[in-house]
Amino acid sequence: MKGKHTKRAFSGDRMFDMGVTVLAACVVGIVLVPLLFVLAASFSDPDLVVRGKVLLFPKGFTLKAYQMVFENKDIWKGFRNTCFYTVAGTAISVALTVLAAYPLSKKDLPGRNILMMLILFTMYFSGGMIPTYLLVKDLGMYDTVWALLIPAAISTYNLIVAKTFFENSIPTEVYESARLDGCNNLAMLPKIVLPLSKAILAVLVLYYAVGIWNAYFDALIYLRNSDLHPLQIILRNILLLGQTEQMGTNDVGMAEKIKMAEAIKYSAIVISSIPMLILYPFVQKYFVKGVMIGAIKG
Amino acid sequence: MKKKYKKIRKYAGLYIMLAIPFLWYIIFKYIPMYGLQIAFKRFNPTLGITKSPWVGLTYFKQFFDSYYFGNILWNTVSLSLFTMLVGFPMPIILALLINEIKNTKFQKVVQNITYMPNFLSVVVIVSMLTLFSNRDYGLFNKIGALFGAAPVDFMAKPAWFQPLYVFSNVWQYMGFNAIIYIAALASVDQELYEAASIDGASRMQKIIHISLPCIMGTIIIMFIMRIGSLMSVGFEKVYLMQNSVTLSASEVISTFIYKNGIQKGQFSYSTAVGLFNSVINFTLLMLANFVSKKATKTSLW
Amino acid sequence: MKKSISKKKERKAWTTVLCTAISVAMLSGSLPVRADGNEINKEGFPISDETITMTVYGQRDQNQAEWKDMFFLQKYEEMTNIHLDYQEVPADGFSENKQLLFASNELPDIFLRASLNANEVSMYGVGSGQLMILDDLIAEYAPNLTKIFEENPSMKQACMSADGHIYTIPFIDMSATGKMDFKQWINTKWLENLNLEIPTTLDEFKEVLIAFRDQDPNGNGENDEIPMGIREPSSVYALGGSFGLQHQMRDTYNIDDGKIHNWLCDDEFKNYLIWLNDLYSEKLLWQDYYKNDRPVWRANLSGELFGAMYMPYSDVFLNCEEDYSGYEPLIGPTGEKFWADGKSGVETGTFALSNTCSNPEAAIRWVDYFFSEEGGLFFAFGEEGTHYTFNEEGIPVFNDEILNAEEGFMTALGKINMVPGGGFPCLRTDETSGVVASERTQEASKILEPYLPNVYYDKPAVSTENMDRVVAIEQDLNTYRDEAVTKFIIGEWDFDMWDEYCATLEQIGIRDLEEIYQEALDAIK
Repeated sequence: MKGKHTKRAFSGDRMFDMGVTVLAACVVGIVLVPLLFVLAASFSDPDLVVRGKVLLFPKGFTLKAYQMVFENKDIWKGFRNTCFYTVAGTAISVALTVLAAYPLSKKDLPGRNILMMLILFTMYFSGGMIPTYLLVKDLGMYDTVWALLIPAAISTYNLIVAKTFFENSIPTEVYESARLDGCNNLAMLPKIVLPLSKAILAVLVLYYAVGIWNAYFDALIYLRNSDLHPLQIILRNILLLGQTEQMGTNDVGMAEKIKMAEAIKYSAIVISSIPMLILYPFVQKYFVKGVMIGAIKG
Repeated sequence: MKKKYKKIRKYAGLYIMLAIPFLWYIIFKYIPMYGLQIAFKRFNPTLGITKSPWVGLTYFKQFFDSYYFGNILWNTVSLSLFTMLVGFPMPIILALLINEIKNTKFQKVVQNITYMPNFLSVVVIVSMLTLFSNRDYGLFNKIGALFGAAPVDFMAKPAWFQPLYVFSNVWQYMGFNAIIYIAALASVDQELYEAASIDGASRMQKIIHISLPCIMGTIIIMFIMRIGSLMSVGFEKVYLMQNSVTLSASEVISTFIYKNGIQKGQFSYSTAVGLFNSVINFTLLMLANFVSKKATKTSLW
Repeated sequence: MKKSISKKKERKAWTTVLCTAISVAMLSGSLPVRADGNEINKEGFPISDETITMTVYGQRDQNQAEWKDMFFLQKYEEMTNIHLDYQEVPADGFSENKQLLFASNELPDIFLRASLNANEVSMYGVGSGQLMILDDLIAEYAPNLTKIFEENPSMKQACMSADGHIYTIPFIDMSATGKMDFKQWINTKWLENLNLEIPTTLDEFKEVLIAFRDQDPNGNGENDEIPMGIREPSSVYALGGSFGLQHQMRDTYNIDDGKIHNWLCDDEFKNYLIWLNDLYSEKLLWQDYYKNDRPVWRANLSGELFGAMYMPYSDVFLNCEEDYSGYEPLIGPTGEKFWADGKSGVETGTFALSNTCSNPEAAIRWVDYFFSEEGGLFFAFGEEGTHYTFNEEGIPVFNDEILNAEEGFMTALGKINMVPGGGFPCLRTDETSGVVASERTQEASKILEPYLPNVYYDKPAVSTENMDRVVAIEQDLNTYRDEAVTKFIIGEWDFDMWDEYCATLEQIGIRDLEEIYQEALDAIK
């Protein structure tokens, strides 16, 4: 990604560089300020945060919020669950996606266009919540971890990205020579294709992992047992408590919970966001390449 | 005949692979579609989906007759268009900008910082917006005051709902969405730039005449995909940003369905509204793909 | 599905009145009745000699322990010999879960704390028949509830659905605090600091607010006081008593002589809004009241920043409760003293049976106990000695380790019973109301009690045919009304817009709605 364009330095060129630098610095500033706010707020006295006294630096520095998060059993339970859902769910999703994307990337596969149409169609039409819910119940997945792993396993968008990658990144000659060596289509996937596809795997892992990490809606609907709840449900509970709570008798006893919630809001945000922020640099190397080939149609 | 047999044999392995994900599509996507019929029925749980009585287009009519129908439709379309108009070019511009940074370290820093908000949850984004909009101490008003603007409570003005939504979206996704264009730019043949330099082209000219055309394919594909979701506005964020004062500008189809359907049990009604929404989205996608195919020879399939 | 209790809990020597009562009842147990193969006793405990198992579905509040671990349920299981399998759903996402449960038609035996509202009863009771009609069961197996209904016919009416049947058993609050939702509070410390009296009229009230605004009543030198606080935009409708606006059916209705009238287009309401608009523009009314921002509201409350405000209970501002006091309703333009925000004391939908309930008789007997004074006390306070003692005045008071529990009072209480979160089918009286209402709150309620409407109506259930219409109209109407009213108050709209506002309400169908409710109300009379 280097911008080595020319060695001749025009004065206009230098002006341009300065403009670029200033502009880029502005963008970084705009992006960074709110993030720093969250970080600062997580280390600050919650009362000062609500009253808007905190901006970029912690006021009334305290680690109490973090201590409370670490002591909160629900958050840890959710954290563990989410880790499991993310790892298992990503594995299943990536496997299924590759199994679909690779055959569909073969332009000579009979019936390919019809199959693609059928798949695209589901991006726009779905049976809606009740039939899906009934199905999940009938399959015995209700209130089990499977409800979060299977029904939403494939994202059609990711499938298209993967398909496009396979179409464009693996030269036909590779297939031809493999075939001459007696390798059939089935064996080609693990032997030839996957080793060449680290980039797209990185893309799929990142997309699915982030999606599963941040998802909560399926859990809301399919899981009754709070021991199975992912972090986002618990987080939503804490962060949205103030907004969603009903009036009237339900106010009884809310005050205590809310005080706690106010105090740990920002630290919970920080802790819940960190794993995904850490994941990215690990896959980044492959990711950029994968995204590129996945999206450009040759 | 023999040829056909040979062909099937050749592809048998591929079909076996396809079988598993395709079974998934059939079970989890196609089987539930029978449920769409409740849009035309008065759903009664004891009778089940298939046996509930038909009521024709009653629920569609109810939606079209609703006082807020025009309003909701307009909000959905305008919010989506606005998001697209601003949100679509920004990552491209950012990618071009990052591509022009010569200092590789700085380039990395800019890129790595701008993608970060992508990982924040919507809840966080909305609570930050609320804080920043506060009339007395909010960040926005503090900045506004520097330019002599009178304090405004942004979250409470219907007119500000859309800009807030759109620009916070840009803020959150700009960096991440730019990755794809950055990657595309990196693959542009460097010789093109060198040749242009020899011709005396300025940096700006090179961007316009080399960089942009080279990533046009990517841009168009992304654009078509975007059109197909024109009518689907992110539900959660709108839902969280709404308050009673801004409803006239903030009620969109997805929030409407959620409030009526899943929260109030009006399943038939909300299915009808959802179906209406899907049909429009699908039509738009087909249209965009068709136009693109004719005009640029680029298409989704 | 049947499970017998494997481990019988060791019997301790209970010396409570409660247990004596039970054992007496056991001895005098009458003839068993047969129901679905399970014999149940018509009176006393245990309800059945053989263990009966049933499934219970409901919403678990954040403060509640898991139901299987909750004290009163465990104890009551021993007493009744009815074992319950709990399918409890957390509050977050409960309404979604409930709708899908009905949609899938795989129902539990019992709905407990499922807050079934009138629409749901109409859909799933009258409409699809998934809820069981309870009229006869109550008459036969619920003597305590029957007694309450006989003494308070309006409470029975409140429980009836559009078809005249009862589908759900309510929570009944007969205490003074339960007769109204919002109580009005004023900061007496500030009044003292400024040498002011508690206001009695709207004009005096405004003068006090102005003083609160300008004279730094909390004496911190900062202009941080908020003279008047309203919690959210929808609360506005409940607080117009001084202008003669009732809050019948917990909505924008007056009911006089059995006639329903929606006052959203009335001049009285307009005057009320003009008054509020005046307070708002003078910065007397909390400037952020319309944002539904509970965290900020709470921070302001516990930070003692409000001069006058409205809250149902003082638990959010317990820290500065002593500085606030209730006061009589303000005299309005017509000279009337009236507190509009009444409640019938009946919260319907807290308990229901599905049409597939395996033992309805036992289930009804199970719940009826909580409508006796003894059962109400057992539910609210647990066990004498272990959890509470009676003070000199004979009022139950929790033990110290519960009141001052390190984990918080409500969390501690949530291990004993379902008071945190509310919505449990039982009887609450003045004696047991102390479990949720502080003394201050009870005083504030007693001051307002004489000024409540004579009769208070709940929203009558409408027929299934009218359901769709009501939902559609109310959806639009409430959206429009909340938006318009807020705009009037905060001055975004001028009052020239009033006619247009009224015309829009008419167009949406405000009068049709009135008619449908009138019809429904007449039907249950």
